[in-house]
Amino acid sequence: MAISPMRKLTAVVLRSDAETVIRRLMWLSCVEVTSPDIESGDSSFDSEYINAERQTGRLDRAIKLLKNYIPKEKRTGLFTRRPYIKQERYDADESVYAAEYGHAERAEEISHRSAEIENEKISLQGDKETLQPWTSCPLPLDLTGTKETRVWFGTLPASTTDGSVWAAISDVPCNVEFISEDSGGKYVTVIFHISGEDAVYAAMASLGFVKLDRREYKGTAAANIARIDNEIKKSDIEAAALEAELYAMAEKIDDLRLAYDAASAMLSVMTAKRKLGETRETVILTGWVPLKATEKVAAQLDKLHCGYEFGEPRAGDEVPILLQNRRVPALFEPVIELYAMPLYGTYDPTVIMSVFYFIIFGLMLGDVVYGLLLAVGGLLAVKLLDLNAGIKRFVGLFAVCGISCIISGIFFGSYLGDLPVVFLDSMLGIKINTPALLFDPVADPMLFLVVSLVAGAAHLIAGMCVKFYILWSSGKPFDALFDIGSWFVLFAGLGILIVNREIGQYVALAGTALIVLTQGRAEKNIFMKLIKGLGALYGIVNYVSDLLSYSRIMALGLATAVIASVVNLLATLPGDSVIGFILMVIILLVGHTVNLVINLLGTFVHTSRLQYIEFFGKFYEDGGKLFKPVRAETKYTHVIQ
Amino acid sequence: MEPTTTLEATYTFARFLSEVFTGQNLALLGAFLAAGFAGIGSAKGVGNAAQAADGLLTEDPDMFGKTLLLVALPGTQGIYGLITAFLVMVKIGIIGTSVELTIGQGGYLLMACLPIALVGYVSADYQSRVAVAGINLIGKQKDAVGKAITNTAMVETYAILALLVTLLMIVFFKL
Repeated sequence: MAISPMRKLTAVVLRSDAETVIRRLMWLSCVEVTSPDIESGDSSFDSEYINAERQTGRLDRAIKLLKNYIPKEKRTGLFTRRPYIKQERYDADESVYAAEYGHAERAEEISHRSAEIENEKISLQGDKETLQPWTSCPLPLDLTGTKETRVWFGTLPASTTDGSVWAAISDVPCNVEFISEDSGGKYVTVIFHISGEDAVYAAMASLGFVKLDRREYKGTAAANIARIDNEIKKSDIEAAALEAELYAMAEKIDDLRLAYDAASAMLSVMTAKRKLGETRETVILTGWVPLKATEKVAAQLDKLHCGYEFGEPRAGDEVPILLQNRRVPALFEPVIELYAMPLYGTYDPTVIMSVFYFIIFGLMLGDVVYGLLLAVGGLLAVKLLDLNAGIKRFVGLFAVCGISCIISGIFFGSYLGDLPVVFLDSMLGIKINTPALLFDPVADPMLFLVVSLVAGAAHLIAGMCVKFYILWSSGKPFDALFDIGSWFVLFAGLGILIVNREIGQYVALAGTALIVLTQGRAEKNIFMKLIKGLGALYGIVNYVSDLLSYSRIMALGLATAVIASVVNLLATLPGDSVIGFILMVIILLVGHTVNLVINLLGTFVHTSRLQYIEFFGKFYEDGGKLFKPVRAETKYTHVIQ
Repeated sequence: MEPTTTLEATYTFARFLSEVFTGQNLALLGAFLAAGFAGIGSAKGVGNAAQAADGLLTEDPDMFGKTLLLVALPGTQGIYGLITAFLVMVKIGIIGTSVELTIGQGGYLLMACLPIALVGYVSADYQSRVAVAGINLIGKQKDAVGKAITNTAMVETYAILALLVTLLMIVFFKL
């Protein structure tokens, strides 16, 4: 119903108790720890924090690495539920998880070693490919020659022919032996007397001879290849052993997951601990606690024998914002969190916004079946799937809005678009009218536009009413009457104008006069007062453009209906045979799923936008920070307290 | 050239024109412009936004859900174009019962398609720039998703208004 009042907690705790205190408060999930106002340099708890961060990171990487080695029955899927674990297990001393930390460290080593092995193998394979053409060469690769001779290994271009080689070396004393050839060229050994080296060099260079770099090798190519094969085999065996180790480790994935959640709880504690103020023997904890939770927190602090006090927020304090609403309006809080939190002490618009969000959402996506899918699907998802908290809130929001879609679908006669009409007509030859309680928007779009704008006008006026209320209750009744009330008189006049020209005219004129006469009241000079007043009248342009912005309700509503009707038309085209019927079902399923997804996106974005720009623009004061209490963010388990 | 042949050629050309520019074909041209240009704009837009999102995902793979909406937003213009094209096809009987159109009527439908064709193309492009900026924004501040989406949706307003104009013109089209 409102923004929760906050109390500033200051507690003095013995150094040795600091961790226990924060841990207890963490399980209450209602204290946001802030840094104290006192000057402080580096926290002496930095190293503990870094250690916790390292452990969490290592466990996280290990769990991700082991994901592919987990046995089938332990894999997590859409329907897997996270286990419930007692709180003590998270509070347990780190030594309890020593085995898991060890596993995580070992997993990291294995991951590094596997990468090394992979690289070694690639380099060995490369060597093997280089040596392959030389397999049949009987000369050892490290043979450079004898006292009087030299031996070269190398390649000639693939285009070289025997003839061209003989021609080039005809008057050079050397022996060229062809070993093998492939697309890379011809592999040859050249043997010559040292006295002819220059001539041989020139002759071979003219053929395009490239020397083989043999420095790394000893023995014949065949022997080297055998050695390489052996090494590759050894690498494979090692890799297989490492992999087996990972599979064995993955058997205990549940323990690792619990260890991760315990470590991340520890990280939460350490993050808070770092923010403590320090004296030699004590630490000073400052933070924010919602008023409702102060008793709980006090009880806990008493138990731990801490000195503490709760203070009222002072001017200049950056008080975190916690919205407190009943169950159903609370479902709409994510919409506000997506935008920006209100300032502390200002108005919480959740309830009034949720009403309009509900209505506008339904108008944009008004269809009974789509609504049922959202509502029932959302409900089932929340019941059957173990969704994480953030997603759950949005699923809940859409499920509630689904109800609005159903209502609006009944009013405007949309059941998967115009499926009943089209189906009865094409399959059974029965002509019926759209089963609308009010009217069919596709047949009468102008009326639908009017409905959209009326909803918009109500939304805008509600926004102005909120502003009126804010001004009035903050002791500015004149501001409320003049700034908002005068516009209401003008709007009322314009409204009456439609029914009764004469009365409306006068009321509208009275409103206009009121605006011109009051809006310059801050100015001292009489002329400035008048100019300012006339200028304010120009503000009507803003109201008109705000109102026209609501025409998007009609455009998006029609878009939903038109795509649905096109899908229905396409689906019923194949005719009333068995194949036609099967085709129809397929087209309907695919078409309407796509339509729902596309328009859900548009509806969500534009319904939100109408709140943010048009509605909040009238009164909202943003700039607050979301209340983020110290809490254990568990990823793989649920905590039983 | 003989005068008679010039006349004949002119006549043939005129007949060619009158066969190509039937009411039906003009309306189809409109449908093409709507689906085509709005679609091209959206393809460009989603492409840009998706590239930016992938850039962010290399750093932080968990941001996929948050960037998804921003990537999808410039895609709506293409859908608006598609709706328009479908409506035109239904009106002129490509889908459903066939009808005859005069050139004037075909021209009317062509004109009716222009707002979403032009505005869809341009707005998708601009919207994608805002989406890219928004993706960069949430790369730096994870909590700013709502603001990034709202700003991106601001551009979309004009595509919706153009769609509104187009839809009204087509829905109120009388044969």
